[in-house]
Amino acid sequence: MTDTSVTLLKGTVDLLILAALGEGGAKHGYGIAEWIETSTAGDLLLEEGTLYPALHRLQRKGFLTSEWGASENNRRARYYRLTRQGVEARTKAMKEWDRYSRAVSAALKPGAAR
Amino acid sequence: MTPRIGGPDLEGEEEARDEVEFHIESRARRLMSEGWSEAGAWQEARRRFGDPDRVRAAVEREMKRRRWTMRIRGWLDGFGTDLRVGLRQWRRDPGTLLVAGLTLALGIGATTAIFSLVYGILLRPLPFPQPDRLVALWVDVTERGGPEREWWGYPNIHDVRQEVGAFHEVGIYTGWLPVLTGRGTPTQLSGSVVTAGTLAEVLGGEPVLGRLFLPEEDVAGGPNVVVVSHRLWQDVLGAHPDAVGETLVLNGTTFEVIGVLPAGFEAPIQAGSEIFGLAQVDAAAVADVRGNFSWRAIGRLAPQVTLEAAQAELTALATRLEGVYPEHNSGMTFTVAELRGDMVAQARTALVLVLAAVVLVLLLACVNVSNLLLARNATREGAFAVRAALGSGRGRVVRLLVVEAGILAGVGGLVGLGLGVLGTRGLVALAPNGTPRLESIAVDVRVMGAAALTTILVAVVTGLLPAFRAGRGDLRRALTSGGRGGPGSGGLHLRGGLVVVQVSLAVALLCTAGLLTRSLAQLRSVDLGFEPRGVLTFFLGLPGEAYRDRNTRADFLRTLEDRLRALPGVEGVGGVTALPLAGFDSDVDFRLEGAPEPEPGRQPTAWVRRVTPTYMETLGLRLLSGRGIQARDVPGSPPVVVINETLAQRYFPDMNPIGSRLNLGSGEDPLWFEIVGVVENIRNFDVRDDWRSAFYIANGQYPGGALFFALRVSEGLVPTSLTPAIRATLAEMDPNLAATAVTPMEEQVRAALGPDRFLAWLLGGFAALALTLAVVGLYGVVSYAVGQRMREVAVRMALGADAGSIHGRVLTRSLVPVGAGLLAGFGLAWAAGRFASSLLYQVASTDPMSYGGTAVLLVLTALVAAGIPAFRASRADPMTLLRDE
Repeated sequence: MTDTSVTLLKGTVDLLILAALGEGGAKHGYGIAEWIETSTAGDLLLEEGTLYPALHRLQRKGFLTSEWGASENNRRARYYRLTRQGVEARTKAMKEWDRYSRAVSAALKPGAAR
Repeated sequence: MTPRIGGPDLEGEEEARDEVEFHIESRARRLMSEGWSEAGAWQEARRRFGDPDRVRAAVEREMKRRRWTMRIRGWLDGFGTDLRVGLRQWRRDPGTLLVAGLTLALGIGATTAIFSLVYGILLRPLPFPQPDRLVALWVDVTERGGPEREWWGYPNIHDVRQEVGAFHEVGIYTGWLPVLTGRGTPTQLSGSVVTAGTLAEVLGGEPVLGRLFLPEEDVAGGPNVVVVSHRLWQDVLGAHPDAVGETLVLNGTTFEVIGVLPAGFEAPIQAGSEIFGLAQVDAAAVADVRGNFSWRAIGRLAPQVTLEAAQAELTALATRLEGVYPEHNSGMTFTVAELRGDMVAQARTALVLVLAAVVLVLLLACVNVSNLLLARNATREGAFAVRAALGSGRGRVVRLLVVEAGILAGVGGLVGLGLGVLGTRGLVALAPNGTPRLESIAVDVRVMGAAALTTILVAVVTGLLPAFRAGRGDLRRALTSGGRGGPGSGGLHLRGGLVVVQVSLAVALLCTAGLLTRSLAQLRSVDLGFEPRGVLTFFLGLPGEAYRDRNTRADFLRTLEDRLRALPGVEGVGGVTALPLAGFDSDVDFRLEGAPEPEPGRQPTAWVRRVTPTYMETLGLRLLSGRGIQARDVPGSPPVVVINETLAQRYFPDMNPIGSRLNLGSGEDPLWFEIVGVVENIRNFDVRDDWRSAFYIANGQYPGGALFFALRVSEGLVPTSLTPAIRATLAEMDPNLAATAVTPMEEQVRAALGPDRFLAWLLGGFAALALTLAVVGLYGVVSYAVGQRMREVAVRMALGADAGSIHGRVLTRSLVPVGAGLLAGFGLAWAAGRFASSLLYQVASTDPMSYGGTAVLLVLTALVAAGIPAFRASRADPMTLLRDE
């Protein structure tokens, strides 16, 4: 945790979960947290507990499915994976995010308004 | 593997806790591997996780939402499946779908049609602003032996209008039947004259064209202006947008059209009124006719005034006027009633009865279909039991069957709505004359909503019973009954019970229809006191300046009568001021010579008719003593009167009335009429009961400007065949005159019985439908039971039982539910009869003929329905049956 960490925008957790599960298949909750940490080099400040309501929400929407399995160190852990709907939702959400973030960055660039 | 929503991944709190623990532990290990101390790593792991309580609460919230979503999705999924399965089932069995669907369609259609009738007449608000503020005002003279709802004498209603503050406005009106000339064939219009505020202030409607009456026009000698109905505007004025300002010649006087009313506007005043003129009453001239009853009154309550408050004011005024004018107003009170209820009061009992009848028919249709579904499901019971045993819950089977019934009801509802629309049109077309508010009957959103609601109810009623029965499927029994999926005796008992219900509903309807039919027959065979057969009647008014002179009128009418009598095919002609059963009432006070001064408000009254000498003979009135009105009773000869039986018995109980004299009015009139004859009573106003005092005076002595004529045609001629000859004769004498209301007298009598006939036919139709449904239900159950017992039958026959005893056994068993249904039905019929007793004429509500006839009819049809399968059983070859087993 550094001073440069940013607090996550609401709704971004869902997107990050979809992204995490899109790369490398099924993960448990902690695995997702770790993926986020690694892939952002610790720049995002994630309150890890908020992953769990989000995981339930995404299951309700039919984007995720889960099953119990053995973890790397042989503990019982719940693994989440994307459903076909989830894969579609991920692609769509990532595209939207892309457009959104590009637009915002463009707007924030010094001298953007000509 | 396709993802399953609502699969095993939705678990309880314990799993959720495990998951969290695993997370924190994993994080702590990771931190320790990065060099954190054990205690520090655990603390940091917990910090990063956040508040576990908050997380848990959030998870729980999410889980709850998920459970709901899953439940709904699961239900919808299952529903979709059931719908597909249900549709497939029905496709496989189109025969049942057709029969059951049609049965329901008939029930729903009949219910829709009757509901639209009842809604339109009893419930739909009047088409005016704040219709619940509209009231009718009446004079109640029951205290002096008169009717509860009498019309008004002008001075009394004038006082009400002046002094009672409870009303925003009171409008008064009375009938007006002007003859319209100058636009093709002269025609008689049906209309009313009203006070200026009646249309605008009381009803509050807006004219389609032009304007309504102004108060300053409503004075004696005011302008000749009329407002016309929508229909007259279309028929006579060609629906022309410039109709306002056109003129109409009415009774020889020219009137200007100032406005056109919207359709249906006239209904509260007089259904079918075509034209409205102004009352233009000269109050001073009619100041002493409080005792007359010639005006009707409607009003609009002032804002915030209740009906009770208005009634209190009216009662107070009536009491005060009674004190001031005891000679006119004693025994008289004033009443006020809500207008809509008032318009339909007469029709209410009949309508409620018809509605109840149609609901019974609908119920019967549902029971029938329920029964059909039970039989159909019986063959699937094995399959249901297997499904239940394999873990598909009982609820699923119930839902499937309700969905199947729903599909059926949906089909029935759609067809039924179509039938309902047709039925509504039919009912409106066939409704008797004078049925109130016919114009407000239509199949609209509300009626359709009622039909949809009925359909849903039908689906539930027809589907649930068989569904619960099937849901109770017992695997062992279903599988051990030979794999043919036959039901146990329970199914048959249930179906037998349904037959009891069906029979009882049909019996109730049959009895009620029987009562009404018997009542109609009694009314038809009433001795009217005259012979309507072979008589043609018409009305002739002599309007305008040309006929102002009394002698001209008398001459014209006498000549006309003679010329009509000379027409080939005419046996006799007579004229009268009001034909019997034509709905005209004209009570007058009279005083007998030498009788003591009557108590105030108790003057004798009687109906008076002016007749031509040949009227009584033409119509077939029977003279009891003395003579009738004769040709010698002319102006200048001593005035004579012929009284009816009631008047003779009431006022001359012990003496011969002939030679006595009576006086019209209060006895101050110098004109005394000598009683020269007594005639038998006739039904003047109502076929049911009409023994009121009446007398006849000579039209020749007091010729008026209008007469009804009655022509008796030769035996074998159709009365209406004389219509062209009558019109031609009249046109030769004066082309500006019109013979109107040309009707055979029999038609008049028929019309008077219209409501009774309509009701008897409706109930009879429903009863026939009910009987058919009940018999079909009975047939189904008996033939099914016989089919189930064929083995027993075969064994018995193999052991030597003869066909007759088999037949007898089956029949006896079948008649048990019929007997039970008959008894229960009699109970229902008794209640219905009591409710309908006010509609019955000389038939007790427990009429043995109706009950007996119902029983005989029912048992006979039941014997046929049960007899066919019983006969089939007794004819079966035992060897074939046993081999088939």
